[in-house]
Amino acid sequence: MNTMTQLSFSEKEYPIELSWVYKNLIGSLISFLLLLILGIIALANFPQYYVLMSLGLLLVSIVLLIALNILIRALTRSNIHYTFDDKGITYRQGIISKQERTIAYNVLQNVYLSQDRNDVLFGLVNLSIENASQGGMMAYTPAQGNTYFSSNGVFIPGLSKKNVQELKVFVLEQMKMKKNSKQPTAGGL
Amino acid sequence: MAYLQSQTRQQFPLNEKKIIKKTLAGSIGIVVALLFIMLFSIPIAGELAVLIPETTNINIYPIIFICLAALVFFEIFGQYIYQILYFRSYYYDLTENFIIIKKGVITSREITIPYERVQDVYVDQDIFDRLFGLYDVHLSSATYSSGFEAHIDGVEKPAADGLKNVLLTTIHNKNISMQTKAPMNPVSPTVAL
Repeated sequence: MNTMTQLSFSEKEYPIELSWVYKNLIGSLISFLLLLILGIIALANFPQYYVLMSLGLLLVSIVLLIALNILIRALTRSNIHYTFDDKGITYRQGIISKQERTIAYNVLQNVYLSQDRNDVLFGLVNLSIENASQGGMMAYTPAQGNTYFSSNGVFIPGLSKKNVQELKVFVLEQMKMKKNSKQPTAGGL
Repeated sequence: MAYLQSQTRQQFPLNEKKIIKKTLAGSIGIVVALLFIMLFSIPIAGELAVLIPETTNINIYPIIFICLAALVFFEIFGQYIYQILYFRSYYYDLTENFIIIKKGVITSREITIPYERVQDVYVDQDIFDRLFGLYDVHLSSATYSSGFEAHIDGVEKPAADGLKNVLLTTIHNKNISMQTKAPMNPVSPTVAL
């Protein structure tokens, strides 16, 4: 897809990958297996029904936790909407409480790509597009990138490497074109 | 070689002393902690040897020493290998419109800053940099992530000065051209610099 000629695109063309929903599953499974092994060792001298009951409870609670995590991430993913056009980036998100932010290209400070270890396994990259506003006092940790709606820009998690590069090139191109359109002190919109 | 990929890095190279410096800085805390453990484990091991009569025939001190020495060795060796890979993956490029800095061995992080948004160019040295004669060049924009990511560390004095001068000159020129061009072309945003 040629990003230069197309005027507007959204999460439909550049989706958050499905693997973002379950990328933490491997970590959860490893900790589950560790707990299981520890449980078996710790309960070795207990009666068999007791061991089975405890392990059963452990299994059920882990499965429930994983299901809840995946459900929340799936809902988060389906509730993130973004549109990149020639005026700016519009970003909406929120499962229950909703937020919307629009940023113009000429006030962007930097474009930042980051990954965590699970992202590397699935070839995912997070895209942060930041301006200098300090709306809200939300804790923002670039290394973990856990805040989806950070106080100074938009954060799109779980993009594929190809998509994130295309979006980055588009945004940088727009920044280059828009920077002379207004005085630097003027508002972006 | 992977680390000669950008022209800027060829012109203002990272110094290979950075690998040694980061290895030292990264492992010194753990090495000191291990030495403390060794220091304190000697009397504790003596007490234990008295409490458990079966162990009186075993000389436990060489075992403690060998274990801790092995830990220290693997810590430093691991750090060294990691720092070599980090050194190779370090990418920075001053392109026509943007500064691109990319680093990371396993997880990769990349920041792109337009020249007009650089808030300051800041050169510093920590204690290890002083020992090795290295400099860090910071160039943050107004965001937190740029404060964390936007620096080029481990260059020698000429490269640090060169980077600083190129950055300041480019930022100055960009800002001048923005101030002079913006009022003249209010309706043509696509003017190329």
